[in-house]
Amino acid sequence: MREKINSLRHLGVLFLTVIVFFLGVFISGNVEDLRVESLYNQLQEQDLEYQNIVTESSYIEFLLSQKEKNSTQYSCEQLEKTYFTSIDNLDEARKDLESYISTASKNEEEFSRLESHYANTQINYLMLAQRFSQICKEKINTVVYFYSDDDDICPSCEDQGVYLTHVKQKLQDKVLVFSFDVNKEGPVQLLKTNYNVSVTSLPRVVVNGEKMGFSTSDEVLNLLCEQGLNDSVCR
Amino acid sequence: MATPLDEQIAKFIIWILYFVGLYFSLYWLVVLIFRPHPFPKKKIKEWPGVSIIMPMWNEQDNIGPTLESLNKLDYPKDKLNLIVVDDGSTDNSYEVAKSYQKTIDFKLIKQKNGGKYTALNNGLKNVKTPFFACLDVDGFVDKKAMKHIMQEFSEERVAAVMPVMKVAETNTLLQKVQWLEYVMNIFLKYIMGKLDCIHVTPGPLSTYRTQVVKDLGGFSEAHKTEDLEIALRLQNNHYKIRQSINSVIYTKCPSTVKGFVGQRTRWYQGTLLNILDYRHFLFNKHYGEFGYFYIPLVAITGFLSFLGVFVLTYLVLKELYHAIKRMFMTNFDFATYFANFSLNMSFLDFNYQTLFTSAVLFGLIFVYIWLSFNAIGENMNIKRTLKNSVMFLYFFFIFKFIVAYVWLKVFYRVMFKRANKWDKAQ
Repeated sequence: MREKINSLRHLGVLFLTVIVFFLGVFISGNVEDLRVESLYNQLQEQDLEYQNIVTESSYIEFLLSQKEKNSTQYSCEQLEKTYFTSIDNLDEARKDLESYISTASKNEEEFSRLESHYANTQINYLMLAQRFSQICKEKINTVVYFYSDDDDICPSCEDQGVYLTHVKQKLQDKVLVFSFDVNKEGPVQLLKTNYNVSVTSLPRVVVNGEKMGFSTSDEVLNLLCEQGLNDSVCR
Repeated sequence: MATPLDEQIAKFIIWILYFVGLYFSLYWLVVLIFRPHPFPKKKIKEWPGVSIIMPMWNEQDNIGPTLESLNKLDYPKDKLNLIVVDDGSTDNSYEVAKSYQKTIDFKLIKQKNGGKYTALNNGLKNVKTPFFACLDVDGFVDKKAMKHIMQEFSEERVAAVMPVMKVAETNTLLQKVQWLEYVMNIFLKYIMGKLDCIHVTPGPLSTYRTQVVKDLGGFSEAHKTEDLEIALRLQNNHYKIRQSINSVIYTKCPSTVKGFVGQRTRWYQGTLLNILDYRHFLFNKHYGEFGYFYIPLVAITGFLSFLGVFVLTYLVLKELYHAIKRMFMTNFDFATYFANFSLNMSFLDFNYQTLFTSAVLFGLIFVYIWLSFNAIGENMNIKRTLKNSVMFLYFFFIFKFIVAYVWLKVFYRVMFKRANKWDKAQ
């Protein structure tokens, strides 16, 4: 006669399989916690850097009020250096955030908070760019981009992202791209109102204050050149 | 950014496949570890009579060497009968075989072409010994194979014993990969044998109790896979099938993808159709592990294999499509892309769930490969692994795609009722 089915053996193996399976989930979950922690640290450092830049800006304003021209010149160079280093760090944080969110399986709330934190930091840096231009009389090219992750609301946002990434890669530090998810609550909503962005007008690209709809990288580059960008792409 | 629905479904399918794959891999490992070989070898004082039936169709180049290899078998000559059945060959096979009758003692039968199973049944009619074996003419037998096989008939319910098959020629990469696959199958059958779960007694030198097969009505057409059907019929009647891990048969395997696809299409289609014919096995507790566990696994293997490859291909093609689209959008501006390219990575950047699960699964496969090599006395070390790294890569990434394609072809043929057929390449 045939041997009976060994249910205990099957249950044991099933248990073992579940353990191995969830071990993967457990390891991945722990790494995700580390990612959240790492992002918090990055953004905290970013806040500190922001405070430094604000302080440096205030100091330059103070120098300007004292009519210390030479010192102002030197300080502006310092400020510019600090600002661009800091914005590069912010960009690194963005890349990490995007990458981590795409594979996130828990910590959704934390990631959402980090996204809001990141968006707020971007707004601060956008304002700083304008303040820097005013006090140091040096133009910083900014592109503000409003998008939505929802394909039904904005089917062409993904393509717009590709074009703006290309622009940023081409021009490097000669342009700053700030991107905002219109669905995020908080200060982004103020910015949205300021630039007259509605759900139907997405994607919205604002190049140095000039509003555009969906634009290819060539169109954005052309506009930047018309606005006085000094780069080989304009020749 | 939210993961699109198609990717979520694809990932879900991959996780299910992973879970199923992991379960079965661990199950075989547990059986291997906690169930030592329960079948002692029979001590034989007087070797029983065995007939070897060789169905032949257009094998003028192979019949001679096969007969010579059988003539060298370490088995009492007076207990061994060779029967060659020419199934209406259109070349000189019959004449070549006849010429060997001057030096080797065997019976030569000629019949009108009727298919392999008719040749086997014709040969079976002429069997007077208590055991008989079938041998495809393109198989070459190891000297001690028959003695090892006979030692496995240790109890009355053992009705069939199969040898282990190794690939004879490894001239092309595809043949090398098949060699690896055959080696792994030997080991898997070794484990399955512990649970009486062998579902096929392949053509080369599988040996049967004559009376049992005669009582069951001999071989049938069985969608051109009579070796599979006879095994299922034996299982259906609760007979036992064993594998003799020490008896080795060297068989030729296709050297080209076309030949491979043709052969596998016949095998897999035969498997699927025969399982459909014997569907009462499925989840039937009267057939123990064989019905409840093994046959359902064989039945879904093809589908899972195809599904896995389909999903992975879909994800890769989708990624490729987006990459090409991005290149088009940026006018193939590779200079900018490479100027910004960076390999800066931290340990946090990896997907550990995928990494861990893949490592476990690949690790288990390598354990099986290592154990398989050990089981058949092949040496497996790091040097050999590295030397054969191309073969392993081909096995994991290309061979599986070809197999999945075969399954797709089989599903199509089964759905549109296309019959299995033989051709020379098979």
